[in-house]
Amino acid sequence: MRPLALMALLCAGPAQVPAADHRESPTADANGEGDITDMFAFLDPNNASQVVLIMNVNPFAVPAEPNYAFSPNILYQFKISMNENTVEDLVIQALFTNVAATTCASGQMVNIYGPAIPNSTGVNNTVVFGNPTVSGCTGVTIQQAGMQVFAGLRDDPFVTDVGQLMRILESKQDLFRDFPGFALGPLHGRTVRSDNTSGVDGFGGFNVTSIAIELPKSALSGFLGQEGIVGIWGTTSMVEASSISPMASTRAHASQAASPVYTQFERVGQQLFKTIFVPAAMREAFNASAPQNDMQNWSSLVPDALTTKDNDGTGNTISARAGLLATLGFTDAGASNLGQGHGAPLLLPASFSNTDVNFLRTALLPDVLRLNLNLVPTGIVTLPGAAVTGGNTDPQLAVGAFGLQNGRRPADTVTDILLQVVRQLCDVNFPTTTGVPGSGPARPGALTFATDRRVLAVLQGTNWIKTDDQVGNVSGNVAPYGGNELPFLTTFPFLAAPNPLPGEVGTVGFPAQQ
Amino acid sequence: MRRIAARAALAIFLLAPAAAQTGPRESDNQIRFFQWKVSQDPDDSSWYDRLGVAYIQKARETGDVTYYDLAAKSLEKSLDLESDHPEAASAKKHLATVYYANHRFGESLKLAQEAVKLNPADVTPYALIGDARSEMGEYGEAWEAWQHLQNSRGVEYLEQTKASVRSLLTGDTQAAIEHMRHAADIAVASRMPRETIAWSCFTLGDNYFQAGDLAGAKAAYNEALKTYPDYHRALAGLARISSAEGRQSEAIGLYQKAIGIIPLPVYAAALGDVYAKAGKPAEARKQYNLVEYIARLNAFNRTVYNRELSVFYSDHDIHPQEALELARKEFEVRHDIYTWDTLAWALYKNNQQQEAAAAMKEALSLGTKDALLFFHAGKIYKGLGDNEKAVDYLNRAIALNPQLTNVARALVPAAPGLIPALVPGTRPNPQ
Repeated sequence: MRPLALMALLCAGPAQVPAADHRESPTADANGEGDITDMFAFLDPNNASQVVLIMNVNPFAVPAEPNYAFSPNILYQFKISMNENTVEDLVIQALFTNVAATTCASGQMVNIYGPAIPNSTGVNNTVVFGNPTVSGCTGVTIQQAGMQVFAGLRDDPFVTDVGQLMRILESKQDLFRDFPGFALGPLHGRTVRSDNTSGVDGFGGFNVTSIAIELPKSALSGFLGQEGIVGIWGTTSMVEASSISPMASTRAHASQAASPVYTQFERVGQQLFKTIFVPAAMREAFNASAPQNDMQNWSSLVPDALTTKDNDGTGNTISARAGLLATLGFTDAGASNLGQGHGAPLLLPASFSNTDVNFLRTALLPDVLRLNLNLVPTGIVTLPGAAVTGGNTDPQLAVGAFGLQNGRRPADTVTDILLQVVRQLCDVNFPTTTGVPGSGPARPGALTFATDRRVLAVLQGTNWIKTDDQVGNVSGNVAPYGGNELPFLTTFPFLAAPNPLPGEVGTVGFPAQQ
Repeated sequence: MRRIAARAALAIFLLAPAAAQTGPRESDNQIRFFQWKVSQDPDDSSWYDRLGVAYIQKARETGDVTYYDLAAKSLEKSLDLESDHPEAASAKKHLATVYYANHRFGESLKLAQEAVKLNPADVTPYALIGDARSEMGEYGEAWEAWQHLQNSRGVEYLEQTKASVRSLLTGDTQAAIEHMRHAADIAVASRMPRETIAWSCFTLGDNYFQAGDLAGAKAAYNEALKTYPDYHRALAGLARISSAEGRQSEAIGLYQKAIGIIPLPVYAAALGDVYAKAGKPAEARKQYNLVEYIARLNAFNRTVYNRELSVFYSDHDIHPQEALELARKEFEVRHDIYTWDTLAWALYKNNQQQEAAAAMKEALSLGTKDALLFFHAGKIYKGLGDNEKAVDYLNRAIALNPQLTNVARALVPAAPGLIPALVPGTRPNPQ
């Protein structure tokens, strides 16, 4: 590679300004109670016959503001597809009502309907038949009908150095971590702290409101195909043309006859998909669409994948990319290089086998979490993490088989997973002058290095929130908990308790009270 | 991304002088929280933005204008770090809010317009654009800006509050009440912070008061106090009703309580008037002195209280020339109907009757049904010798505020057609 040419590229290009999953489209943004931040789906590490589903809303909930709740006007749904058509076969629905504090200290009650076959599939839905399966106050765990339900405030488990990500994308910085000694000239990023981390979790200290449900996987498996993989996504919907009214807070339990038609305005499956791949102007339309049409509607937003075959005559293969990342010094973090690393170890081996240029598209689309109910994890708590060299061997992370990972567990370092998958597999068009694999005239299907700052954002494969020796461990609930500021619970509802008010007991990192 | 949490941001656009979101403890905690976030990542523009919002809230809660300075510094720092991308829209609209509070309406308008340009998906700056236009007397443009709030999800509260203001200004007080009641319902149903709910109830009370419905006003003010105890605006609202209904000692207690929370000049002036009615001229004098002291305390106060001080001087027949100067100074930055009214009132007190009538015509141009506007108009037309118009306007004033009956009758004692003194407990229909 020619240094001057590369440096010119690093300084060039218009910034693309995506948003984080949190607050990513106008309608979701205007309805925090329906703005889904994250979805989780995993087998209970204490009992693999149970499956846990979690949906988080209300991004950036500040501990100092006590009023975060669920909207009585929104239908919250977990949608579950049993086969590849990604049409929901089952739904679990949640509706909330405002009640007197004497009824529920939280002031709200949650009613869970299902799992049940939906009255209708797609983006317009009604509440399923009958009385709720589970009903009770928010803020406490409810155990009814063989299910556990918790709806209420929790620590936001999402971990990302969103501030630095934005600076990279807006051309104010180059990388997550400073690389002054880069062979081709200094690349600017955050400096390393004494604990050999350099990232800042922008979501640290914030809370979300969570709907967590644990139920026997047999409630789902009766519908399962042989492979045992289910697709899971979350949606939020409102009644069209309705305005918020206190009357809604007194709504009786819904029934099909009484249920209005709710129209979807937000959906979330895999982490960060919209953030990274869907331009802001398209997110409203994406949110209002159903995943069954994702491949048709959105696959052009996802770049081609590298393969084992050199398909452009420049040696542009998975193996060559792995070599290039190593040569440039972007794979050297680890226990022996504390505080000195400039990139995460490779997630996938250089020999990773793929012959399909659509590999990323099929891994990312339809945008649903894919959970293998037959794959019993070695333990969400005890999973030791992956080997940091020679490729990640965690079966939970079999890229392609499950999208980005098998379901999603709270402690999975999902931002790093996405960064690492993309940096190793995404086809990038480098200018001819660089002479590296993938260089040459612009190719459709490849990200263009000169104009797309996302390439820089993924180069290091980590946002360095964990210590260098933990960067390669992208799964498992071992300290530092996937980079989260609080440890996850080992039992339901698994997400950490909400962050306390600044300075109060349990506060992490706040300055002492005056 | 990184949009301010909906509820927290929304209150910033209420744009009432003291429309704080949360109680003092909550805003203190917000300040502490975002100071911590800033310390964690001093290069992140969004945390300075959020810190600025917390300072704005604190300023509104306490009336301590130094928090506006801190808010401006924090928001300017945010814009130093990021001013070109959509993410900067938030800090721009919040800084626009600070400028609005400082009566820098032109700058507020410009920043709010820039915010819309940077992030067209966020329609909330249109609330600010409409507010600034309204203060500048550009009502057509204000209505147009507020139109953008219609049919947009998540901004129903703003839509209703602005529709209420527009209805009130254009003389449909009943519609203003309905919109504000709807806004209050939304605030409750969507669990907005209690101070937002209280502000909504207080404003609803003011709308009732303007319609002459003292019972409705009282109920709304009490509702505000139930939600947010010691809410100074509601206390002052109740004090005004107590005084109107002749319970002066009760009014004194309520005004004293409001002043104890925030010593606004308008409260001190009203308390002074109540003392005067109660036959306590020495106490009244003290409050009147306080009005001038507060209004001239610092540069900020000398900017934002010009109109209040001018009205105070005119109402009390003191410093007429200064009242006119203050009104004209206010007019340099503000052309809304109430500034026209202030100018008309000061001109009248300076015996410039023709000019006063011309200014009053502007003040009445939207068809606002406000007893004080009508009363000023009546007095000005009386000064011009146009008894027919004077009686017409005084009748309208009395219909909305029977308190003014005796004053009006004293002004034009022999005028035919003037509504007679009211039988206690009755009220003429507003026209």
